[in-house]
Amino acid sequence: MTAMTRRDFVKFFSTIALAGDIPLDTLAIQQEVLNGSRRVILIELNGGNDGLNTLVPYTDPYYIEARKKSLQLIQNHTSSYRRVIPFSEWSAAAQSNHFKPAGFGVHAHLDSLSACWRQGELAMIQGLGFTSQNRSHFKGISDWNRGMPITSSMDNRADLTTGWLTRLWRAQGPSTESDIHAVHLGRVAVTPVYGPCEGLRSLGLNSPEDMTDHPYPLYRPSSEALITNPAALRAVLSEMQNAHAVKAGIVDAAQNAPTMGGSYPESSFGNQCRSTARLIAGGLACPFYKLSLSGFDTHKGQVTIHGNLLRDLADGIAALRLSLRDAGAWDNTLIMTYSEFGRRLHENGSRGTDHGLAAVHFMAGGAIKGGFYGQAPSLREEDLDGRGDIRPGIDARRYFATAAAFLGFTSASRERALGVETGSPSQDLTPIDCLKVA
Amino acid sequence: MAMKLLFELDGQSKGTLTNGALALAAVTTVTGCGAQGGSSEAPQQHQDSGGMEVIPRRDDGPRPSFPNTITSISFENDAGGVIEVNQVTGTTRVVFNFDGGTAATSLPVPPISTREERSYDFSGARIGSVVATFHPTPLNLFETHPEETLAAKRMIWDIGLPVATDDLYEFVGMSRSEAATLMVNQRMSPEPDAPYPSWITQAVPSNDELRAMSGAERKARELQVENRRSQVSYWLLDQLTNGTHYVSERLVLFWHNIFTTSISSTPPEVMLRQHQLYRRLCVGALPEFLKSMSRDPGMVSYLDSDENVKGAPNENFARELMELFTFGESSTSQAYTEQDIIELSRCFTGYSLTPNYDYIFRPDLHDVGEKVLFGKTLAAGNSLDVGGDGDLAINLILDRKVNGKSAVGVYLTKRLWQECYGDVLPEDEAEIDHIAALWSGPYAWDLKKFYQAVAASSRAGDARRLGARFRSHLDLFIGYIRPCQIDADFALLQDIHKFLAKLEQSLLEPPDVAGWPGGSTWISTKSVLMRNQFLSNISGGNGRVREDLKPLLKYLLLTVPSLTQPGSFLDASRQARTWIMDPAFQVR
Repeated sequence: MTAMTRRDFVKFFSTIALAGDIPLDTLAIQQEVLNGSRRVILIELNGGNDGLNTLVPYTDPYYIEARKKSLQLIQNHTSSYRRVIPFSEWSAAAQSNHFKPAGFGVHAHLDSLSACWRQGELAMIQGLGFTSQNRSHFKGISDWNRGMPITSSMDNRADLTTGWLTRLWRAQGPSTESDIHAVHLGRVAVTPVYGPCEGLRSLGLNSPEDMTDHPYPLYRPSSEALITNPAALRAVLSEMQNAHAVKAGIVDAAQNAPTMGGSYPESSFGNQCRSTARLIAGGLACPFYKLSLSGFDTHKGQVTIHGNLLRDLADGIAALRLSLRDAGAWDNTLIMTYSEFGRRLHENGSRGTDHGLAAVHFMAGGAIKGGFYGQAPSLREEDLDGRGDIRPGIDARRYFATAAAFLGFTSASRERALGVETGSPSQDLTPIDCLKVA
Repeated sequence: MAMKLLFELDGQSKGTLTNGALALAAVTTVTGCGAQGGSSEAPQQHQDSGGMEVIPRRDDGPRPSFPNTITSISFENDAGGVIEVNQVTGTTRVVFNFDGGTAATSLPVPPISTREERSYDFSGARIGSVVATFHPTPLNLFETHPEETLAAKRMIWDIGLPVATDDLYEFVGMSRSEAATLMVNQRMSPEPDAPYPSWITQAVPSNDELRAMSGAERKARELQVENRRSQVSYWLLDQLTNGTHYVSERLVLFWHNIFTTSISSTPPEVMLRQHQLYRRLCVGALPEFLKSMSRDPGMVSYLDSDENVKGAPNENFARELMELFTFGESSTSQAYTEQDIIELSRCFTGYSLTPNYDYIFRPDLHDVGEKVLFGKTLAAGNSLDVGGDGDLAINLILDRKVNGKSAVGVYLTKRLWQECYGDVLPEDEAEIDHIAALWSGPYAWDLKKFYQAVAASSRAGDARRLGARFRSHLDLFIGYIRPCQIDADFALLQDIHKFLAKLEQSLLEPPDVAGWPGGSTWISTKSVLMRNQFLSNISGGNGRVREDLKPLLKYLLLTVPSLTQPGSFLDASRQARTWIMDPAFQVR
């Protein structure tokens, strides 16, 4: 069979992504979720990841023209630098042509993900974003965490004060079987878990050791104190109560964690991945972890900086995969990336890229059907938006709905949290068809 | 063998407090009892005819034997009347009445702001000599004027930093407006108390110079950079914990949290010079501040202005100048469009750096074409002589009105309001608009008038704000060291430096260009655990706290009632740690 042409590639994706809803709302899944046996690990690529330098259309003439200064730099200075690995080379021989689109490759520093890709456990979801996406870092990421963009014309019905995952828990109720519902390693304040929700236990950690190192006992608030004090003090007390409630689960998991495979990068992100693996392997019942990797705001000198970041990302995910396979947890784990926006097709004067719109993101895990989803973006000028940015093809809410379905949130809960409560009751929330499990 | 007596002045005398006057108390130590025999009873509490209360202190070991029990002590001024508490200098006659006699002496009263011990010779009298220590007694005001004291504490903390009694008492009884005037005029200064590290003026080696260095020299420079970054942090922590111009200390960090850069990606010499610039400009006027900031080498580098060139603009600085520094995000502020970002970035083309990190305008890289900003045209071709269109563009930004209101005025007033008062209450909106209109109009963007207007606002005292503000991690440490007058030695500063790094609030190193978001984001399960741990680490023992402040710690440290120690504040055995580890210490 011959490799697909670029045109075929585009056509192929336009059909594949739009399959119907997956019948996930089964009793068995509910039970698994209640047991805390499924989990999502969300990785924030802080700063705005350049999707075009991640999944690279390296023969596309528009791409080559737009990035010629960076490409020239690579040619001039580092002839041995491997910039991109074509999918024809990256994919296993036995994999179908779907995995080998001509003219596309991955950034060479993602190579440690090749085993995951060859096993068909890595999905690349292209063109993710919001139709009225914002190019501000702060508004951008808050839109992603909220699960909806705020436009100036938006009326007051939309719920602006909660994250999308918190709204799902409000719709369905956080499981009492979980030790804790959300663990944050890295940036704590940036998360889809915020806003009030009865019974939700969320935590930020540097490492599990945070919970054991206590020279002075933490105040244990009475239930009365949680009602009578000023709001700010109540928030403090509620976090103190939270810390008491989750302490045992974290400490036990860290102590119980077996020795695991996986060689983690020596970096903040690598440590976050290692801590996450320890908690999961140690048996912590927790459906959601959030990690963050910072530095993606590559306005200048992108070649080196971005390459290092992608290596850190890939090495961390690859190590997590090995650890979780050893722990028998990989099939119940969904790793997914997100970022406030993609970056502009045309590089700026500094061999960097300015803030853009849509971008590709990864879903990985034993329950993932690997491959490409969504359309490879057309880079022709008339297909870009007014500023020369890639228009979103898949609304980010469908991406979240996929994770929600994996975690066992019913379609009714998803429609409420991601549709009605975002002020868009008719929003298409069909999960992306990349999950094996049904 | 010493017996200390703490004299408190009565409520009537306290009632005569006026601005600038402090309450007086004398701690009198009776030493070397002269005569033999007599009663061995400890002194009791007494009321003299003037209503003066004598409270024996409890913690001074074995009681001395007295030849006679003191029955009363009275103070008189030179004219023979009862001492006025606002008398800060001069001579005061002190009369000791005791069984079988009277001893009297004239005490020169030391200035209130200093603590002083003096011996007074009672030769001929039967109780020997007396050592009197005069110092301001906070007890009076906290107990007898709780509302005024709390109001003073809030006024100072709103726009300044927590203080000990010496400073606090100066504000007791003042109106907000008087306090605001005093703070802006006397607690701000363009120069810091401690001199900048001497290397502030040193040049930064260029890349060529670095390349020409030997390996050892380069290594030495790397170490120097690391070392100087720490020095900046220690120096600044020292200002924050000891600086007397604490409104400047607070506001220079406030502005750096808007016009952000990061010491982690900036040479320390450049960073310190920028800090010096901000400190000087934040007592000037906003237009000059914005224009100088746009040319500051730290900013030029941090937001890539040096990469922003004719024909290939890098819009990083232009975008953040409007979104974060002046207007607020576009869909909220409605003050600018994506096209305005492009036009604005063209105005700043040519803003650049020399190889040694000094600012330079490079005319050849400047886009001289016509720009249209907010619908107004900046004509082509006449911007080279004046170093670019940046200053003209900043003027247009300052003039920008949305719905008849100054967009910059409203945004920055709201930012300062949140800094001072926490959340914006619905009733605050009109006040913010009012201050913004004054600032952008009659005040001509004068910054001290701006601070004064915010600090003096009649909306400030809303009871809903009490205990409604989260303390940042830095606030916790400053809120312990300053009011307790802890001697913050280098080891303590090192600890704090380390803790701030772990809590991700390293000084001058914000998480991103938007600065620290503040408010409730300081609090998470992780941060309450770490804060608990670090506070307990630095507050061990009570020895660091100034002796006379120990009985007052609860009042000095907390602004809302304690959750753990509802008992009497007079209990001096409570250590600073008791109050610091209280959840109430986490808010203000």
